[in-house]
Amino acid sequence: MPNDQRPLPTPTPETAHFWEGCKAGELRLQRCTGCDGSYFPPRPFCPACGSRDVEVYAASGKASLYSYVINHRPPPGFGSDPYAIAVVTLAEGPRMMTNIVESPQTPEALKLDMPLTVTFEAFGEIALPFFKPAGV
Amino acid sequence: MKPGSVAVVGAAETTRMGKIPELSVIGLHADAALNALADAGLKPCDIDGVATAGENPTAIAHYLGITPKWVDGTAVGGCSFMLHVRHAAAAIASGLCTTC
Repeated sequence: MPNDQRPLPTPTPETAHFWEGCKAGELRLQRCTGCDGSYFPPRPFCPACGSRDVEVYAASGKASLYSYVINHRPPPGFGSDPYAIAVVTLAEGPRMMTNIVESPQTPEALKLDMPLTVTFEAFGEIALPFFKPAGV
Repeated sequence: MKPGSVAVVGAAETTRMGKIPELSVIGLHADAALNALADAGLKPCDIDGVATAGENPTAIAHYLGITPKWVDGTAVGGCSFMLHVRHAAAAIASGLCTTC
């Protein structure tokens, strides 16, 4: 996959812990110490109750496939083959948009609710969290 | 709408003024909004309408944990926020969003 054109995130002060975690091979979520809810994307307060008493923790990296589309017209930086744009439900609750890797990008291979495991791919200074079928 | 039937019930700025390197642009919006919510004694889930200039009001709403029924992204310069108040009062009066 040609990577030089792929758009990459710019970490902000509120998201730095997440991107540092990805580089270290760890999926970091946040949870509210008041209402105990986990949430994503990162922010310094709980979107459920508004409390600023939140903490960062390492998630299990386990997820299930919630939904996806197969894009047959990849934008620059995403190669030339069709690829799945997926939403996964993390074991801890939050949903995350991602790609499914190490799997054929077909409806036959991508079954809704299939168990997934996080994997990280480095693009220069940024590592992106992708998901692969569990057990692969 | 009767005069006085819509009121500003909470108002705030960011927690600190000046250079705030630990917050991004969207983080500054959220910090001020959370302070205004605290001033009013409300939580994000009590809110169903968001207006802001510059940043996308739907992005701000989702960041705060709000599912908005009404948004206003009017950006016409420094007086945008005066128009937001007027638009918000009109939205409440016409039932596009609620106050309870």
